[in-house]
Amino acid sequence: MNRPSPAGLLVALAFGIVFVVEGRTVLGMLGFELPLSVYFPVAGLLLVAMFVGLLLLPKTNSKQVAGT
Amino acid sequence: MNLFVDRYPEEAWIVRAALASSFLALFLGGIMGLIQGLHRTGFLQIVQDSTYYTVLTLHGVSMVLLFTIYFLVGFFQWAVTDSLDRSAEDIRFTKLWYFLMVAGTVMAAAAILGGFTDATNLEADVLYTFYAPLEAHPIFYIGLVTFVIGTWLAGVDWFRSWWAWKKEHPGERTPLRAFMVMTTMLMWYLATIGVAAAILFFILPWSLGLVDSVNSLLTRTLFWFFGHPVVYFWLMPAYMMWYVILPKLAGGRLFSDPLARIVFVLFLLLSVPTGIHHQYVDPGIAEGFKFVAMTNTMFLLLPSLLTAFTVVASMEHGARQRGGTGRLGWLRSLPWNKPAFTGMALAGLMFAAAGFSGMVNAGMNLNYVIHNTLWVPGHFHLTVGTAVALTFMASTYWFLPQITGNGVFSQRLGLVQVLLWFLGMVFMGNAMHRIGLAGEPRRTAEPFYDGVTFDTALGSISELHFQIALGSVILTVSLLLFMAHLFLSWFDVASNPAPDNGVIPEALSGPENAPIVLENLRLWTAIALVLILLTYALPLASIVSANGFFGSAGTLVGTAYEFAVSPFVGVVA
Amino acid sequence: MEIHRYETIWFAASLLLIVGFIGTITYGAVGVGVEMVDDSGGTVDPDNLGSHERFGDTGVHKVNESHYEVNMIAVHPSFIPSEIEIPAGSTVTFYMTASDVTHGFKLVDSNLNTMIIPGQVSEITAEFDEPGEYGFVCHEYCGSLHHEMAGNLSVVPEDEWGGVDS
Repeated sequence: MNRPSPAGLLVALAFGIVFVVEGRTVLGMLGFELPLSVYFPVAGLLLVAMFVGLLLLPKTNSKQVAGT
Repeated sequence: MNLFVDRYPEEAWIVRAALASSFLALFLGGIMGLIQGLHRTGFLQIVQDSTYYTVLTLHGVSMVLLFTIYFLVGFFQWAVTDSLDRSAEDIRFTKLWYFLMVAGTVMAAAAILGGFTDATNLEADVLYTFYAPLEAHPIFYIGLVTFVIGTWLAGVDWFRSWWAWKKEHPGERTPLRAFMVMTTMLMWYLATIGVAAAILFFILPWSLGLVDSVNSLLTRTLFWFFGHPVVYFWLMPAYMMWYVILPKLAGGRLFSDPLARIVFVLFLLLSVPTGIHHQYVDPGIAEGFKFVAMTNTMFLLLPSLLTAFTVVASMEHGARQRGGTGRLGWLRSLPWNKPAFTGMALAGLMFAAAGFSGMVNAGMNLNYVIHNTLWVPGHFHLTVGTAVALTFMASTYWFLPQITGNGVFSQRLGLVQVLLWFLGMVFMGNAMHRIGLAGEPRRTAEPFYDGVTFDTALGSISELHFQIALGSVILTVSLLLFMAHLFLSWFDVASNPAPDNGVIPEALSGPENAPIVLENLRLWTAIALVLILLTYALPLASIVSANGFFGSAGTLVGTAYEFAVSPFVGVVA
Repeated sequence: MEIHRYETIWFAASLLLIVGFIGTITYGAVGVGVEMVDDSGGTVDPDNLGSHERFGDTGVHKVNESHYEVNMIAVHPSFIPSEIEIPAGSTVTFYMTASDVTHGFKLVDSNLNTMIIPGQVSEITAEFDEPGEYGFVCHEYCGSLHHEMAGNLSVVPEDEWGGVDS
């Protein structure tokens, strides 16, 4: 997988925020009612980690080696 | 040059004027929305509670009537002129209807804005539904009627073009875009009978003092006769963009032209005889009539579900043309860097969510839980507020160069703008739906009552109020970005050249495959009328026979007026 | 006309979904007997509520041991009466009308929800088995003090019920 374009990163970030917001509702429906002060820092950190992870991906096309 | 503005400069002027009016209304309505979002959640109250309702009226009228309808008449003018490839039959007539709409707008706006000051007796704190006997200054109703007459004449203008085109092209299929405009306008003519009858026969005479009273349930029912199809009047242009512009932006072509036509014919047939589903909890309407409206409403899901298929299929086709592969991998090959594409795709996604909440609204029994709670505005902020508004804004990034001859200022800024709108609406839509489930009413300056608490199943009300306020702020930032970007592009600050991309590609399955009967708009209109009669004749007759045309006893003047006007109303009803 | 096979399947599934929705709701209305607000309340002259047999006498009325009626008038910005007390284990029929403009009534945490329209009588019936406190609000904009229009319904244990007063 390659690093998405800047536009792709923006779109991914927007969707990430949506998942963070809705995630607490979904967890609540599954029976895990987390306090705000716990949920948002953790979810926020996960989002930042995902974003940094995307940035760390190689920028160039790395199709050349099979199995990477 | 292939740009619309070069081929049809006079028509392009009308389109630009309509778009400018539209975005002015959007801006005004958006600022009102911010005030409301912060006020009713208690975060910032810069107006009095009583003024909140003036703000709310302005927000509703600006957004659902002015922003949407001005935009779509501009878009339709482009669609008719461009797809038939002929100038307006008489450009003076085209200007006439536009300026009639403007005149109506000025009158209605003066009445609403008068509510902010005590200096005049102008006032229209009646919200955009103006349920009588809430009373506005007569100029408000006269303005609304004038505005609607302007749209009627616009339809006449486009039909004249179409008839002239048919005379010169005997036996040919109507181009898709023109076909869509004609079906939408026919639907609009049928729908506006309701609001025209409500205002002209009942509310206006009453506000002028010619009659003493109104039959509230009758005018309310006539309003919703119009009030539901009006949502399709906005939605059908948005669908049109998804059918004709989105596949092109995705890099491909529309999947099926005949199915697109079928969808629009279904809307013509089913949009109007559904309005009673807004009145599921109204007294004075028998359960059977509500049931008929519900059945029609459920079948109205069909064209939307078909659209969902075609839109996704066209996007996938486009992505594969651009080299996309894999079961879902093709999604990465879509032009996500183009705000026009991304905005429309996100609008479609939000519309799917709105479809689910709409199914709840449409269910007679489920509706009891959410009727007139914040759930309902939550629903239509996803439909008109996102599916329509975001599609209109996004399409502007593609459309503006066609009518101004200037390239847009910055695609990346546009991308940020549409993403922010999406985000803001996710916060606001989600929170509004959930607050509504807890029972908090809509249309309320301060939903904080003694002894009444609203409990959410998950989380807390205050957390959800925060999400609404946050959503409003994000949406306002997005709106300001949009307006700034529009200004910079319109006046060509960056001197970007306009891309020469005005040609809409043919569908994969072309119009020649469509059954010829689809062209017979007289037939479809006649069937639509029959459906309307079947759905509305009996409820209206029973409302009138129970309480008369004018509610309680009228004065002498009123009785004479009633005597004179009844036969006409009978025909309409 | 050529229709893609997937599109045919989608079309059929959509129709099935729609018919399914209508079916479940029909079952709810006919089978389970979910009651809807309808025209059973009849009509009334909004200008002469004071002399009306029902609305001239607002408040809680006992029909028999287990059935009570509440006559209610909505007039901006209040419900008359706004404090209602009924005994637990009773069936209550609400009759509501408006003397000025269109109002709404929603009992929070329930599915009791109706419009209140001048000239029309809304009739809704509910059972209150357990003691508890409910709030109700006007949910249709009715004027500049609309947000103050609310009230409370107390369901009290049968032996604590204070009788007909409002």
